[in-house]
Amino acid sequence: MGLFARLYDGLIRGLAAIAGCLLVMIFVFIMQDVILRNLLISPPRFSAPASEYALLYVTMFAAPWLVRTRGHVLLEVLRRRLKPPSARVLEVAVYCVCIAICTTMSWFAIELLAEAIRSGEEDHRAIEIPRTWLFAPAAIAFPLMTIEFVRFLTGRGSLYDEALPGADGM
Amino acid sequence: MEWYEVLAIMIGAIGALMLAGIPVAFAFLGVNIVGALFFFGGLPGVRQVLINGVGSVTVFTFIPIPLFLIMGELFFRTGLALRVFDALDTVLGRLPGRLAYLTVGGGALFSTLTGSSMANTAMLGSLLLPDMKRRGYKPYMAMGPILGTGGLAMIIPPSGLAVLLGSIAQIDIAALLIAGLIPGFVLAGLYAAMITLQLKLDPDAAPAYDVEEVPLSAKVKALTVNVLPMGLVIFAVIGMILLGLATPSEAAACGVAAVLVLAIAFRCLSWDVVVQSLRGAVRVSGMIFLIIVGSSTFSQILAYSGATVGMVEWATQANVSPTAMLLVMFGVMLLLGTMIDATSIMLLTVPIFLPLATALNFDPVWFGLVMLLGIEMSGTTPPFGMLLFVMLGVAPKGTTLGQVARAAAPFLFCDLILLALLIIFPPLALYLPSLL
Repeated sequence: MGLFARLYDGLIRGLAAIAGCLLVMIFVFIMQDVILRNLLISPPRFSAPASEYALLYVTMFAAPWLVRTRGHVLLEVLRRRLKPPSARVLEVAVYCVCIAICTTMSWFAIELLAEAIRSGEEDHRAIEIPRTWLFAPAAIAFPLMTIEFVRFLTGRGSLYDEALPGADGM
Repeated sequence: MEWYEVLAIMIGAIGALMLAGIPVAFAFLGVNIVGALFFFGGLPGVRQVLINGVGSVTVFTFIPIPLFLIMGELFFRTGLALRVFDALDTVLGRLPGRLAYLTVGGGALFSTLTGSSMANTAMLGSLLLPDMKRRGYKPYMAMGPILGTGGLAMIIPPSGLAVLLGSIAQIDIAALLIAGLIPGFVLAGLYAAMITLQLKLDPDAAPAYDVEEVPLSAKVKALTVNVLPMGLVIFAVIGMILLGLATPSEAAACGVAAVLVLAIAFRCLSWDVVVQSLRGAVRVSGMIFLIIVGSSTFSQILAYSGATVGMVEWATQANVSPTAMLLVMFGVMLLLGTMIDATSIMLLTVPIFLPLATALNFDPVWFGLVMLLGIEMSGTTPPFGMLLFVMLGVAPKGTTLGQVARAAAPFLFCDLILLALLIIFPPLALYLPSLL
């Protein structure tokens, strides 16, 4: 495997690992709020909104890894009943539709991100964060998912293979 | 375009894309992109799909979902679940059909400790099926109780699906979680009664076998050491919500903390277990949340196109009783469950059913619980119910889907009895939430 491929794999796995760390962060923030409140100390303002934003990052950072490890739920009812050549045609059509969807989302995510950077707008909750932070994860995830579907289309694995080892969950 | 045409096209298109094998999240996204192009004024509408999607998951009420998942993963991966199970096994002694009852008892207890019906079914199936087969249990007696009991986790708190439903339908999540407690245990009782009935009709279905005599002191010790401490987890989640000490998000975090404390106390927590548990939680929560992102504009398109108003007007003006309308909605959920997963059923039906339920003056918590029951049942409805395949995956080689589906049928009947009880006697679900 070339250096670029290794770096790219590392990026996909690294983003998923960050998603896991963010879940730990959410747990710590919520527990901190519970403990402080019971000690009659006001919890910090940032923990609830930070946990909310973290959910978005968990979703987007896990998404490309889930495409790679066949973790997104799908139906195989029709494909399994088709003969191999027809199943392959359907599979290619599925990849093309997914690439079109992810490309469209990538386009708008990047456009919205660029607008947010230009305008410097903020998202107001208990804390204010730049709107850039809201669109950045989508602008990363959708292009990566596009690449993952292109990889399937060009014969690097299949969306319908068994889930990869170590990718099990409940 | 008439409202029913919009509804049929939107749902039909999502169904067609899913059937083609497109991952559910992308099927929703694709249809919403096209729907937004038509109904939201072209490309600016498509931008709105992304803006809605990004906003849809940054919601505090979703936080219990990944935390309940971490809790369940830790509970199973640390081996705490096995300890509970072994203790219950010791306590049951020589009861005829003991393994079937053990399934119901263990499954109901697991349901109070985790929120994953798939994990429950997989665990009960892999633990008990081989033993049941070795003891000569007939396939229906071996698989039926496991299939029925596995689904209890959707109803009995902590239930990740209840949190999801509460969040997207804007139902009080604490009330919805607690509402499932009594009906969940009533259902477990109905399952146990069904096993008794099946054994009366066919005693050979679960042949008696010798079990080593265990003294009472050993039984008490097994319960005290391995089951009683789990009360900490139950209190951390259900107790804290019931006593009004914590919100569902805080209770979920306390549940994770309680499982961690127990795992440390039993010396079964390792770095590897933590990493695997987080990986499992990222995997399932990422999958669920991307479906939420994809489907976030669906209800808006239905509302904007007039489909929601049209349907509500039709339903309220039609000469049909609310109960009949409820049964139709329940039937639709069962039908959808034969093809798609629980999250998708919820995201597809909530924007349609909730305005109807409101117009028909159904209590939202009660209606939410009925929806959960429908979704629980749909997991075991043939030919494609998700739990049927989980069971098939852990069942001995040669087991057919037909055998699995036939085994589930009597337990689906128990679910229908519970539905009837909920319709006749709503306080079954609403009494505990009224105490909050």
